[in-house]
Amino acid sequence: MRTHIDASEQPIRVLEDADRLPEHQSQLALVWRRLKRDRLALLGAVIVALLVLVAIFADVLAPYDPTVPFDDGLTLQGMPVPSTLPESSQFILGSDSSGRDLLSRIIFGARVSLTVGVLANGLAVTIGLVIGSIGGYFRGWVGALVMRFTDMMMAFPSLLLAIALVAVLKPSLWVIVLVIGLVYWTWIARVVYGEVLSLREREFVTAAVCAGASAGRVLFRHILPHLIPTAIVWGTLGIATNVMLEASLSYLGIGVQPPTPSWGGMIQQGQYYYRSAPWLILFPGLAIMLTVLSFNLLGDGLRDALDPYQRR
Amino acid sequence: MKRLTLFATAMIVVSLALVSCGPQAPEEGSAAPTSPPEPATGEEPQHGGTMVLTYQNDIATLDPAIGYDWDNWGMEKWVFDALLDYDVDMNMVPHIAEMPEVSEDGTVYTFTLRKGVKFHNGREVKADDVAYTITRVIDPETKSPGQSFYFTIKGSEEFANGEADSVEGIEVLDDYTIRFTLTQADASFLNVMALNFSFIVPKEEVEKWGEDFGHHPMGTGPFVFKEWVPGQKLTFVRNENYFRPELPYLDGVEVQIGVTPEVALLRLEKGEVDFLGDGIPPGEFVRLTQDPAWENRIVHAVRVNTTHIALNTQVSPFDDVRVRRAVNMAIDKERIVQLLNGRGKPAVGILPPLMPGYDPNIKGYDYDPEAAKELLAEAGYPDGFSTFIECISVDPEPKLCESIQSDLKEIGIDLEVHTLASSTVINDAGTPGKVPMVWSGGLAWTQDYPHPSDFYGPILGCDSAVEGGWNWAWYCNPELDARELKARGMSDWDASMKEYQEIFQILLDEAVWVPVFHLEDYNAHSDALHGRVRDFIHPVHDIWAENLWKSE
Repeated sequence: MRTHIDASEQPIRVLEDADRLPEHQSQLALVWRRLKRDRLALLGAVIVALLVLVAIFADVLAPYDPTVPFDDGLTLQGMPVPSTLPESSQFILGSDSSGRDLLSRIIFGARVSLTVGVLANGLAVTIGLVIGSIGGYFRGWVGALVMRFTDMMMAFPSLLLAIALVAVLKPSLWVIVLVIGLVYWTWIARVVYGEVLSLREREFVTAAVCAGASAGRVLFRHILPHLIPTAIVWGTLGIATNVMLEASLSYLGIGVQPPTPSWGGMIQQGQYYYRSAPWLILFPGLAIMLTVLSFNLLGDGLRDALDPYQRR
Repeated sequence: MKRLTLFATAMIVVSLALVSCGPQAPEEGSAAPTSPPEPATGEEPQHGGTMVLTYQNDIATLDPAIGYDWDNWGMEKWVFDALLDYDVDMNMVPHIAEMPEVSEDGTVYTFTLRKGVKFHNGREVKADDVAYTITRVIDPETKSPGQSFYFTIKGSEEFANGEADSVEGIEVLDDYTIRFTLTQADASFLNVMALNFSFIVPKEEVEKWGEDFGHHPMGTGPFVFKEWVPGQKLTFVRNENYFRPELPYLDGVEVQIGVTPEVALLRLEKGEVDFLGDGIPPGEFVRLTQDPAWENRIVHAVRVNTTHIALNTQVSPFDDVRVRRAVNMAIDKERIVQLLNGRGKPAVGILPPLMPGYDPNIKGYDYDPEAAKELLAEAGYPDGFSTFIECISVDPEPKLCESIQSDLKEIGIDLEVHTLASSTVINDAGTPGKVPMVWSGGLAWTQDYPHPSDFYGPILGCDSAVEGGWNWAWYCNPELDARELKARGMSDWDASMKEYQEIFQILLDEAVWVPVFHLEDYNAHSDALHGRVRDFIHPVHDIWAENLWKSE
């Protein structure tokens, strides 16, 4: 038995400490190191963290109740009031078309957008993981059926499907979460399907099957852990899309109901004042843009950092 | 790629910020501006041109026996005519018929028709057509919301109940003479004969289209209905055989549907649209009225209208008068008028100021949320309750409904606002037990004629508390009905008006509505479209297209 390996002879390079097969700690350290180096991803992460804090502490941060109209929130002729700075800090961003404080509505709107975005996306990822795994793992008609079903759902224009579902159920926060989740899982399912297709050919799967593991055990204990990176990436990138979807539904009037503030709903109400009070559209629009951008940056960064083929 | 995205975002943000720094809120002048002077007379109307008009919601129907909302009311006048009409000053004038001979006791009206008035299919109008038309409105199968207007005609109620095959009081004497016999004198009967429900319809066309007649209207009017693409547009063309040959001036009217008020205004500014069916949106109102370029193109008239919340007395908890009174006290009417750029007057009672029988001293409800909460607690709802209101989706009605929502939240009532298309709201509100509260903004209630019975029968009388009716409070008080009928028959005008004042005080005490404001109409028209203010905004005919003309 040879105990010494001559590095110059071997085609396979010697394993060094840092490259040893994944122990959780060093995998995380690897990912974290890559992420730290990615400036834009960090920026995204910071903004996301701030948004989450704003959403959680909305009660404390917002100057007023977002649903309360003020007497001086409207001019004599019923128009919204622009920012009162620097003379007074009553309406920092101005008021909306019903005389409510815009800043407070933006802050509370973060709550709606993020809740819907995170929860709906969580639902979508869960459904997508399950369906994609089943579709990818089982050969024969089960897999084919599941994937054809996925294709069919994917062919539906998502916004129309969302509208149709909301029309049947009454619009409320939870219905929106459900609807977006039910509409969005197809993309994740497809990606998971592709991954599982390749994963099921790997030796550890064969080994588990030979050892007598049931399909469920193989999927859950062996394949699923390999899907975690995908889940994380989609979990983050998907939030951006879902925030947009919620904003679109609210813009169409079938999202969160008034007077609960939602950025999309605020744009819908503010659109009539695009000439006379453009700040009504500007600020919610900026909020949406910032949220989507930061989640995208973070998601991109995570995807690069989790990519096993990255050499950096 | 990411850097590019960030850069692009920064640029967009900067440019948006620059844009928003531009126009600040305009200087505040006084409240709603006064109306501009009448255009100089001496302008001769020209023939030719097509008027382009816009609406957001599609028209419900053009069947004059059924259509009753703001959008279709004026449009029906383009296609149909009645026996009598109003002139620009609201005097009654002969139209398809001469002014009638009326018997001494006021119960018999004999009309002589003008000869040579033709339907758009070429056939001449005869007395039979008048009899057919009026009978059709009374016919329970038609489900006309105007049915109760005709119940002073002898035999009409028997016919409506199915007890008779025809209406006894309608007699055709010869081809051009028709006689109506009433059960009592009725001061509003001539007005009823000029109403849209009395617009003469051709029997063969109604039978041909059946229920679809509302989508294929044909009458004797100044414009011929040409086509209707649902959800997109309606087209009307000049009636070359109109019995008043010099009218109309326009070659036709094109109505575009699905255009929001803001887009309509944009198109008006570009010259593609001549008039705004849904009016000037509040977001643009201040800018427009302060722009000198628009001074001669804005028309303004006080509508004889009361915009209100109808409270469904058949649906809990609005069956309790205390709850209805509490709601009355909770609404901040000044605020709602303010949201409308001040284009209205807060209302106390049900009748508007320009309506005969209006009582300036009527006892109403002050804005008092505290008292409202106490009354609600007394009625058994100390913690309030949940309910919903239906509201049309045209700007600014949803915003006004949200103001109502926040007013009711103050007294503990959790109100959901359902914004829907006009025809849906009308349908739902006319279905028994379906809708607890209806916002009448954009829909009702404006006078059909200048007599207070118009604000009673079709919206608060027992006969209209039926499926398809416009009594959205579903209020029925038979004693009050009898009292109103008597008042309508009184020959002493002052005594009659005094009775009406008392009747409407009772209705206000019953709090069947929350009267919110009396609307003032503001609209803008293109440079090319001309007419008197009253042609643009007629007290009963709305857009009186036959008198409008275009210059090029």
